[in-house]
Amino acid sequence: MVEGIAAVATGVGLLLGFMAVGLPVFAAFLLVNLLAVAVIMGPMGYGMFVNSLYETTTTQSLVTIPLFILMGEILFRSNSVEVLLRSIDTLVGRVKGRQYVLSILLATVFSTLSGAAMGVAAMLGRSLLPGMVARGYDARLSAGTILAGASLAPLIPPSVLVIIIGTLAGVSIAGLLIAGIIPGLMFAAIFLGYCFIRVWLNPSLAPDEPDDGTRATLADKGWALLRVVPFSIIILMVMGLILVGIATPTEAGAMGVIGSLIIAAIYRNLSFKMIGESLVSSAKVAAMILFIMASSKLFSQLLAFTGGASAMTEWVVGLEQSRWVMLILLMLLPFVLCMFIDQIALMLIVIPIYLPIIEELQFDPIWFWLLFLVNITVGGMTPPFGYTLFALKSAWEDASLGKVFSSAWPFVLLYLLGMIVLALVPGLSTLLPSML
Amino acid sequence: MRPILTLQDVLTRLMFFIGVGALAAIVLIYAFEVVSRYAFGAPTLWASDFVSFLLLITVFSTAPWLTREGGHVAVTILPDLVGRLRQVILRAGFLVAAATCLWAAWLCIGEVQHLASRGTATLTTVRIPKWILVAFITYGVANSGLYFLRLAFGQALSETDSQPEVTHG
Repeated sequence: MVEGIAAVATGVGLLLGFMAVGLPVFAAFLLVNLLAVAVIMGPMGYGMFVNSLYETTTTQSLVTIPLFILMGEILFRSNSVEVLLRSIDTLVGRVKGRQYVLSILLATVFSTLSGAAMGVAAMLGRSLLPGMVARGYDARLSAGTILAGASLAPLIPPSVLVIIIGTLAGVSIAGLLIAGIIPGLMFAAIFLGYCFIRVWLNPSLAPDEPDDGTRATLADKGWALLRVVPFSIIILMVMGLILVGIATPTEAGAMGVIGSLIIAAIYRNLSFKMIGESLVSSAKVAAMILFIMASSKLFSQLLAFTGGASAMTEWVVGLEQSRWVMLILLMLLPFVLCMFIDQIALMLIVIPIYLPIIEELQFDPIWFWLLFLVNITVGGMTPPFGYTLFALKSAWEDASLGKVFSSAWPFVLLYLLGMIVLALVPGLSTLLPSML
Repeated sequence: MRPILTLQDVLTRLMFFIGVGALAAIVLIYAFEVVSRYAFGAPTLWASDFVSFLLLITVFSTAPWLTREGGHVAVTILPDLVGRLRQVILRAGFLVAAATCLWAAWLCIGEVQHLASRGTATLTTVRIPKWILVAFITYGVANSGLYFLRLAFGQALSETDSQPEVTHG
């Protein structure tokens, strides 16, 4: 029987190999687990295999995933996003470089609601980007803001990736959800600050907006603010219920769905058709995610059974490097892998291996997993293989791939800068969870 | 052969809507639970159990339809790189996926028989025969396997088939 680090290497190698040849991610996990059970345990392990599928899909905390997806779907389809868009447009005003601000905010809001950084990059690359370029805004900076904003979604509640990390790593989901708020705002501020500095240094990056006589008055801004109140209530309702401790994340998710229906009614877009479409779409996305999770469950158990997890821990700890070197090493692996494989698949492979290691190194779990979350997010937009880059390229037909890459680099570096700040100041990620 | 495939599609569509209905039921049950607990101080004993059963039903009733639509996440970097052989590699992948799912289904069938013969119930407050839930798992993997077979031997795949889906926020 293959044991220890060899078991980890064999398992991970087979998984990556199956995935690389195009096998659906869930099927790759199923196949590796079936082969491992057949070789290591024989028929005795078959019941364990079936039970792993059962256990995952009856896990209470994972019910939050379809609920968060459904909430986003309803808000997305109920015209709320359009209302939000117009309000943000009015509120941003005529600040120099306003399109960059809009671009970051829109990409963030869209990807938070849809949960699809790639989809948002493609959509804004087709809709917003050409307009910005036509008005004389810098194409690279414009594309960069879209990539950066779209990639911010996993940090901002409601985040499906947080539910998955929390469940796999046994960390408080409520804590991890609210831990992302300050870092999310910090990253948005870093991106906005960067754009303003670039525009200040080189004003030609942002042309003067033509004054078409439609300058927003104070009353317009007041109305714009009023229009987004219902929308804000839902975000506050979900996070507020969790923060105050009234509801678990799952219950808050269900209340968020009800809240989003109320908002759809307020914006006069509530219909059975819209609800039906949202349910159908959410069921598909949730099934896709949870089928992968169910298929992978046994992988972590097999890692423990073969002594792979403990051998890896002993080996890593035996390197006797400083905590900071260890942190960099632990972040480097997912950063590189995330350029090639799906974020969820990556988490399902890496988290069970990392769990005993970070326990041994005594890293704060919330702090570490939040850094991990940012890390895999950046991997998705890092040249040359980040998925989001290709999504943007498909929409931005005039640009070469090199141009897309060069638009991403400054924001990748800003993300890395933000990660260093988060690593050095743990309070940014642990302050809010400590209040729970 | 066509009537059999049509029948499979009809059954899969029906099960898909059962999965969607289960998701709607999750929302309603949890909303009822929150209101019941915090507004009337009367939490239910059954809500969380039923919600977890319904989650399983949602996943495995919906999965075959997802397979039919090519909606599962796949990383197709290598097939995309090799160009002309892309179709062959993807079809081979579908064939392996079909064999995997049908293997898993075979094990699930054995487990359903085992659970039913022993009368095993779920370890929940509200106890129901566990084989019923495992039967949904069996349906999900078995029918997905059959759809992978159809994808492996079906019409030519378009360039966008089996592309990676989405990142998740």
